[in-house]
Amino acid sequence: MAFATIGTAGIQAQSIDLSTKVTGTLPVPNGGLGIASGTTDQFLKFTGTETLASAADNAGSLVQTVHYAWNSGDTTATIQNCFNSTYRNYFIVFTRFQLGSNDEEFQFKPVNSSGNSESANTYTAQSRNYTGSGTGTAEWNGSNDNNITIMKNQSSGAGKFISGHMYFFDPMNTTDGIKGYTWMARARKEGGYTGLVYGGGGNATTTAYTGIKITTSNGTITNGLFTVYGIVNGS
Amino acid sequence: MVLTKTFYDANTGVKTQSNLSSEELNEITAWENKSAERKLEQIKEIRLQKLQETDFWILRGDITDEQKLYRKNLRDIPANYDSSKYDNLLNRDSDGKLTHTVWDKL
Repeated sequence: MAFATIGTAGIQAQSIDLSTKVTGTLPVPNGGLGIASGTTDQFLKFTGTETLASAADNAGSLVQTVHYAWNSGDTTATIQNCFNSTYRNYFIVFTRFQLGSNDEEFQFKPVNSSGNSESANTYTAQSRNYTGSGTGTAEWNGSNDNNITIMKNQSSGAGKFISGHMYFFDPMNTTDGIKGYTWMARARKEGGYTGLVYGGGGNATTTAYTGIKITTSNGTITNGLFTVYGIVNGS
Repeated sequence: MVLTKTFYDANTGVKTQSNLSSEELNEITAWENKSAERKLEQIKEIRLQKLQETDFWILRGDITDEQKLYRKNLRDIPANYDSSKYDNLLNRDSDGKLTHTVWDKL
């Protein structure tokens, strides 16, 4: 253990000039930090009962990889590199999405590092709607489709927003059958009633997916916020 | 109207906008061409729901002629209404209620 050295000439009239008369580091048990310097923007962390070290902030179990605000009027947006090799699984939040015309589908297309989607999505979805005079249900699915239809028959106009979340499992895994996703979404539908969709599926491909293309079947998207969080790997 | 797309790279933060490719435009046209097919699918889902709601008329054993006609009219929707009528069949009022008379129970 290194001890601070105090020059005898530094002790005068019961005082010590710490800025010039103390060299080395003061140990933690003696009221010091035990280190000569730290790293900018980091925190002090106990690495032993009597030792401190510079350490990065604890980022928590969800770490944002991208936040994208929709470019109003676009038909599609490709969000590349929202998946990376650091995290195995991802939590996606999409909110305030509003379509530009009636009878559109709101879709996601996982894309590879070249930005291309593949006809590899097999999924099933079920919606339950409150129609004002009762409830209705609808089912849809895709087999080897190049998109995942998150919401169907969506209308445009004031208040007709879509929001929801998706878990994307192992998007960068190159073993066929491991990549998969589940989602839940709600929207205000035509006539002002409420629609709820839940669905899930997987990708029959060995290609690693690094991004997601958000798109509509036709027309445009007016608004939307899309945020992806990496889920810290279990250990 | 020119349809556009944006590419956003989360690593660099660079955003690039461009027009849709002809392949992407063809996909949209193909989807729009199936609009009537999708509407008929919706109509059939509603029809199934309405028929199921009135199955008990038959199970009860005392279905009236009017009730038989209501169910027949539902079953005959694809034959009696062409694609130009699909929007009317799917129309809802501000409360979300279907407005076409074919859906009205007796």
